[in-house]
Amino acid sequence: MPALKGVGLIKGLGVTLKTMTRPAATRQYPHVRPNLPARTRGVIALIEENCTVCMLCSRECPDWCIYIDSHKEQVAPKEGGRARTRNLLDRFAIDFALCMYCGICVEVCPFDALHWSPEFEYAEHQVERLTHEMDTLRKWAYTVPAPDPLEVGAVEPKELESARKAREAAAAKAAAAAEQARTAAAPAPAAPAPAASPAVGTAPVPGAGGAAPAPPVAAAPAAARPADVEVEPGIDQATYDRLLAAGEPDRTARAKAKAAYMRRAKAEARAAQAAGGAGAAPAPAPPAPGSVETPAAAVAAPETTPAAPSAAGTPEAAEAAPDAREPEARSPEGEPTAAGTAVDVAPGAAVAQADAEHLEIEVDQETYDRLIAAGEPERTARAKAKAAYARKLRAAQRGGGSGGLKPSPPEGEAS
Amino acid sequence: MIETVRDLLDNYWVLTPVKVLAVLAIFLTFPLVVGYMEHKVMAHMQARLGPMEAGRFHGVLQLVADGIKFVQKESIIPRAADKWVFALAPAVALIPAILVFGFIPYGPNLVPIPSDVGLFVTLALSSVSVIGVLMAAWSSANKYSLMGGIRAAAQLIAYELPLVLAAAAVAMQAGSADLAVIVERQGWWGYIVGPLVVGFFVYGTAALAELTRPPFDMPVADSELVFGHLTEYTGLRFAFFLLTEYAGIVSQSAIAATLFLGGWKGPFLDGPWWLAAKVLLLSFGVIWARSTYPRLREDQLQSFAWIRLVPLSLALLLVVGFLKVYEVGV
Amino acid sequence: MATELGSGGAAFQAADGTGVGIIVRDKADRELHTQDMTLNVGPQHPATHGVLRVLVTLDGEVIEDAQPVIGYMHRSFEKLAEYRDYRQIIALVNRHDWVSSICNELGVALVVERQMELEVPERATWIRMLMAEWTRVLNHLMFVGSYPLELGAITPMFYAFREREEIQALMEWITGGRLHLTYCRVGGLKQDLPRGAIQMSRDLVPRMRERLKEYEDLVLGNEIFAARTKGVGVLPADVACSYGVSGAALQAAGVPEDSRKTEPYLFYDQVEFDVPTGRNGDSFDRFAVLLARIKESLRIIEQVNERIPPGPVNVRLPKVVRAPEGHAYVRTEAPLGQLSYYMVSHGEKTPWRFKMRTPSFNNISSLPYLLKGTLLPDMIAVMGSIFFIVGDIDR
Repeated sequence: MPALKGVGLIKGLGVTLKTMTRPAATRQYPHVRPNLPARTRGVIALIEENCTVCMLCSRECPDWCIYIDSHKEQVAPKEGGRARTRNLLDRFAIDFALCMYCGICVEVCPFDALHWSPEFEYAEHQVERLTHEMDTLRKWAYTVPAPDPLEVGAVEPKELESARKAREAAAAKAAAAAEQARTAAAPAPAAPAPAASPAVGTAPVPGAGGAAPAPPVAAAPAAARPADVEVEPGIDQATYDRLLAAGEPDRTARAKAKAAYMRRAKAEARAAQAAGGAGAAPAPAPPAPGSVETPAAAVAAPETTPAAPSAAGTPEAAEAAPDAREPEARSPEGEPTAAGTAVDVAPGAAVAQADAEHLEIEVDQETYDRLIAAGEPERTARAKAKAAYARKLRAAQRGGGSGGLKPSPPEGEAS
Repeated sequence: MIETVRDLLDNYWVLTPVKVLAVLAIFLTFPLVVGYMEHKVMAHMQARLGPMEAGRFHGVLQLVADGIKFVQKESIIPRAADKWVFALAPAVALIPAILVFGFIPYGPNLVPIPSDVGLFVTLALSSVSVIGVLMAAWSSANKYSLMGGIRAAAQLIAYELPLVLAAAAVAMQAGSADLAVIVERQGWWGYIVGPLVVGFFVYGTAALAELTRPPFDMPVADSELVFGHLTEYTGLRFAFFLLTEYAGIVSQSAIAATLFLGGWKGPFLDGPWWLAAKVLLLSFGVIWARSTYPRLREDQLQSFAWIRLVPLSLALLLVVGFLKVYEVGV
Repeated sequence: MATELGSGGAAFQAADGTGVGIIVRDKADRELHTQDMTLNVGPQHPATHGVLRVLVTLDGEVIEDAQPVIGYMHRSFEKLAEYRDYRQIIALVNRHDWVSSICNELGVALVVERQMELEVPERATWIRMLMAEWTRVLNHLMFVGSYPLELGAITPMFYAFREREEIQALMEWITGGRLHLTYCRVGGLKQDLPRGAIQMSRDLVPRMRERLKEYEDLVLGNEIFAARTKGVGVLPADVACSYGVSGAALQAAGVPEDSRKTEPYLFYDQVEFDVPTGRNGDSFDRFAVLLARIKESLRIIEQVNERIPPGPVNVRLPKVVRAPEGHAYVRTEAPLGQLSYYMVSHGEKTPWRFKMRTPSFNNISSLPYLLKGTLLPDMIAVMGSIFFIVGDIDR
């Protein structure tokens, strides 16, 4: 027999009545679009230029939903050297009917050709149309957002670390060059000038001071690649202790300490060599991986090289270059260089950008109207207009001062 | 002008169609209003919005859309079903529900069918629906329906008693079984003030059980029996059953308002609007109970009726009778 | 062909001689001329969470016998795992208990790390704990919502899902997924938290705590709910242990068994929390234990939020991750109970054998014991209170 003492029943009525008086938790999609975080696994985008057809994604996919066709081509050598073969992508399709959105393909791609985008509205009436071919995957690339900055205490990602180091090194070198230029006018421009031209082919995160392949995933730090020196292997004790104290496992601590030691030792050896030998700036190694470049930087830099980009000029150009390196700008206009595989630097720069600012973004109406009139689908038009607006906003902000770091929490349910 | 209208209305053959139309109008609008209220109230109690699209403004036309949807559905009668019984069951359930609306006093001298025993006629009519339920359950040729129907029949029969006894207490208090008279003998606050408040709760609970509304909806417990005796019904027939349920809510609320809350009487400006307000208030209570409570198990339901409610209502009858005889004011 | 059985019944062999259809009729049937009704609950039924079929033999409204028939959702996880490398297994294993994704992945990562004797960075371990506890809250909230729904209270379901949405927004921000997170990796995590995640986690805890009070008022304190669940489906401690029941069902029977306390993994021995137990082992206790477990998880989350040290979240792995030869066993506390993985490796990049011991399998094996002698409407109350996920049963 139910012992209806009644109190609990009344309390229950109170709870429902209270909830009735509060605003509902519903958000009315499709009138209100969700504000999805950057890491949301909505759809996979492909940047064709970066793909070297290494097939890692296709192999690692647990569902085998990536279909890749390619053929090999001989590429005429530039000056001397042997003919190189290059893999060209014929077909790259992802079957989203099979895809389980695990992200392993995006994770394993060594060339940052695959990215996650929060787009999710691509339902079809026919299952075959869920296989997205290269053109559709490229359209998704316009919607890839910049990643969020990492939490306090996180280890900086390698791309950001090397980008930052390169920036600092460039700034230091530029300052030193300015010093030198002020004291003795002659030798300064000569050094950056030849250094700058190979920088044409690379994505200049900082262009001055050393032609470095700016940080692709596997790149060396942005200091100029010097000639190799012989050094005895050893370990930097201080680094090792520090890392161990910070909680690194022994193996990695040892490895990092050895790297630190080697770097320092080599630098010393080189300095000794340079002091002893001819004192010119070491010839920069031609960047083996070419990269996607912004037309702006690619076109502008050779023109301005004879004008000897001054210390002041290059940081600007360097700044302008990553600015132009929006997801929208990089893919369609970029061309792979003749030097073999194309490595996209943009995500690194984009990541650097993301580190700098993350803004609330609206759309640039003109761009949007123009693209819609040109017949673009609404979604991509919106994305491109959004990118254009962001670019303008950043440029304005940079003109007015640097934007601060703003975390961007997603729209959780506010009670 | 008014003279001619009044003369016209004195004519039986003019008055009756007007009354029929009026009752039909009430029958067709109020349940829809209560149905829409249920959608919205329940939704907001569950932190969501309810219908928002149909009819542009917060889904006001949702039930109209549902009605159209039901009308255009295929009418399926299971092959093993007893065709005639299956087809007639919704009618047997629905028609008495419409008739009840004829006996309720909507205002001073505004009873479509004046009757000395109006109270018992309405109670009797509302129990005819039990037959409709049993017909539906048996003719569906479905184990789940059968079990649901048997449970429903047992429940409905069990809760008739407290319902009638509580109503009888009111009749005793008012000294008449005529609904119009019962209202007139109340103050605008009704019979709530006094021992009959117990009667109000007894009547309310029994009415909930008569309507198989939560927490007494074991017969249509969808988590166990799909939809009980209504499992095999589709399309318009199903819509009629649903209409019966909502019409039942409205009519039972109206009867409860008439018996206990003072009917069309209000603190000022008596009229049908007060009855409407009270009906909506009681319907809100019914919906509130649905949102909040889990359902009682069948045996708990039965024991609640027989062991709790019936003795309670008998005691109430005793008390009211005692007070009445000794002329103690209520 | 009829053969007499010792019990006085008879066994009839099917005419086609395959031996597959053997029908046994008990003596009692022939004597009493009663007919028990066999009701098929499921595989499609609103009350069973997924495709679980229970063959129920009824005498009126009393259940004489109940046999769960499983396998409708068998997806051959263990066989698939033999042909997938460890990262792919993590992606797949999200899906057997689909409401507690990280807790499944955690076990896989732990078993491989144990086999490889890999040291996971501290930060990764703490973040794993954070995610695991939030997932536990997610899972428990799901059942807090669905169990009253089966009993007829429709509202707690919406409240529970409202809470889940808030937590899932945090999960989506951190990992990119709401249901299948694929966040753990061998050696740590896929990537670090985004900036502000820990603060959001800190803000969520008091909000969740407040909402829990609503459930207590609306459900636990409701007399009708108590009447439906008290004394219903009593699972005594010894029977529970003999069936291998774990999780809330076991704790409600009075056994404070929790793998986080018994065999602490990650850093569970460094945080303070209690294991709530019930007294009677009935459905009411199971539900109460569930709510209490949510509270304990929130307590853990509060502590973990303050203890995440800086550092890396993964280690440098070789291009192809190979576990050395041998075998390893790891036992974790998934929200539904004890989840263990046993892996045998032959030194390749895929395991040789990957056995999953899932909690729901053992939990529902106690259904025949629980359902015998109960009334049909109580069947729903009992089945819902055992808290299982069909994908977890069938793998």
